[in-house]
Amino acid sequence: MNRDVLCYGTVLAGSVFFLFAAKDIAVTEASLASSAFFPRILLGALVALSATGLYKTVRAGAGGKGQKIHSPLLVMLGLCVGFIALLHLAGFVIATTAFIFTASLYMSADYSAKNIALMAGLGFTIAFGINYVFINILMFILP
Amino acid sequence: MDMFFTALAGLFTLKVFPLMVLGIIVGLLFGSVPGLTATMAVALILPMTYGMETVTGMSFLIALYVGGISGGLISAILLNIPGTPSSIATCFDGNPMTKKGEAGKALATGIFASLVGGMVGNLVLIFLAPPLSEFAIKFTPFDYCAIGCFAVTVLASLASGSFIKGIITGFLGMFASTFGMSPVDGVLRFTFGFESMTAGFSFLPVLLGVFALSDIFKEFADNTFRDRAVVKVSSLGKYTVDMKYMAKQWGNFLRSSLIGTFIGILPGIGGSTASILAYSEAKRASKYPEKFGTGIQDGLIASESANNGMVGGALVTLITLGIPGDTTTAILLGGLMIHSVQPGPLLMMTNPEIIYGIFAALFLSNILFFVIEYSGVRLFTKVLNIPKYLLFPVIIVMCVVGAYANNNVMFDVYTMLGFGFLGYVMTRFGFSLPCFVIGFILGPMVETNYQRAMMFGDGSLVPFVTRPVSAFFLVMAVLSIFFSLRREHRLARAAQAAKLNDACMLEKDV
Repeated sequence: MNRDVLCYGTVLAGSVFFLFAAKDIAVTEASLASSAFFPRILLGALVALSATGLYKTVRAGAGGKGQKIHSPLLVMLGLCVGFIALLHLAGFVIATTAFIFTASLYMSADYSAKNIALMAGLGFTIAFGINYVFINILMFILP
Repeated sequence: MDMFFTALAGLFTLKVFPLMVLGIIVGLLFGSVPGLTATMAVALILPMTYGMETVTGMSFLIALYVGGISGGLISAILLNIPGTPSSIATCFDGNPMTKKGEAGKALATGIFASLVGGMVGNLVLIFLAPPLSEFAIKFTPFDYCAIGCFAVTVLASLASGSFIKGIITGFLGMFASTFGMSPVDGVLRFTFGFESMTAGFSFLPVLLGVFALSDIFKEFADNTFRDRAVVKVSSLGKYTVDMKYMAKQWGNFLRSSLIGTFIGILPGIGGSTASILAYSEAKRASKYPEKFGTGIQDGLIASESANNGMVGGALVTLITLGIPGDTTTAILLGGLMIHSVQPGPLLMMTNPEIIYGIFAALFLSNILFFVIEYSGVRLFTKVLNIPKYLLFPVIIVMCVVGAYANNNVMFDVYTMLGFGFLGYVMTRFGFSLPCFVIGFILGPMVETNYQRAMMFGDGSLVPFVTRPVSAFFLVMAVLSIFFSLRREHRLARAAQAAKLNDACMLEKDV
């Protein structure tokens, strides 16, 4: 699909959805001063602008082709989601070690035994280091 | 000036000075590695300043900012890849100099030009911010609301290729700031029944997602995450600044630094525009414009003076109006808010020690970066060889830690991840991320002042056009929309004419 048509279409659909959701905002003041006014006026403007953009793009037949999402991005997204999920289950040091090990091994694309050992050591050292610095020196609470 | 020197003396303590040196070094590292930016450095380090005193934390962040902007020239000159977006014009003449075997000379010139630009920007900040604050103190909510609208329109017209896309991005940023409790009367909006949405999207997770995570996602989507630069330190050549040549270039230094400072004052425009504009102006004013792009020092001076001059300019609007001049100052704004300091004209009266602390930190950072980068350039070139597979996972972990440390809730981590992906998608669709973030910051300011204005004016919109300051900024906003649309219309017509011309030529040939 044409990139600009997809882009304006998504903004238009999203704005219409939120415009309907904005109906539920409680109105406590006169209409011009209420807390519903600002988001509604923004959404109205977004609907108008994205519709204009869509119309102009379709009429001119302009806009680049939609780009394919490469699989490394999906792998990285998956790793990030897995890391966050593991934080809940295994705690910071284990989850971070596992994440750094997996991500750097995947990125380096070197699956030799030496590199696997190196990445595992590196992952643990960095995870332990961050944990130590943030908890003991900076007095942070880590996830 | 007494307050400036007192603040400067306050930085030479065991608590602040080593932190500033560390800030410069980390900033230079982030600036010199392509894919890592000054904005990313400041966003990642910001959570570490929670426990520090305001001036200490701000000095650390400003050192990172200056280091990050200055470090970008290393990879621009050696690899023809700008380390930070603001070094884009440095590639034009810096890399041809490297190809001619003058890498050392190019690096030394670039570092010296950065120092001059930084100092000019600093002087403008010191002398312009106090009177501007005094003037801005008289502003009413009507004026602030109008300034916010003006800022969004300027941003949309200058920061993006298409005006419609620019303004949509600014409005999307503003809209994202309306989630959760409203700022004036506490009404809940778009929470969809989720309790964690009550406070809306926090500033820091959004910034970390949009600026740090989305850049990493982009590298993965483009399949460039395995690219690795190899730079030989021994091939730098003669490493000196030709002071005689520099003295002849004083006009170029001054013009480019002032262009950078002025662009910095405009909200959200950023260093890349500053360096390109200064470069083209230097070329226009030169006696030998044909030599630009072949590897002459003039172009390098223009680009580097402008991007470092921009830092001082960007801080002017942050300090006097509370409006960030670029994306990194947007994070500095967050840093001030974390320390319960509200930037704006009143800050000069209520907390002058913070303002003068920022002035002094910028001054000292400029000197420190020059000393550290000039003496350690061979070391920083080695950093370019660090593989991304060691950097990116650590940056992602730091993003997670930073987002979580904000409020100690996992919702902020999900927000960061979500906005990271959104930032990546927006880049793919040609939306400008700085527009989005500045919109996100300006949203609450415009809304709060709009609601206050409605209360003061008994629900009437008339004072917006009868008050001189608000009327002026609203007229400027309308003019900026008009000129942007006219420029786009002309460009579209020219493109159509060129297409038609090509078709005619093809027909003739056939």
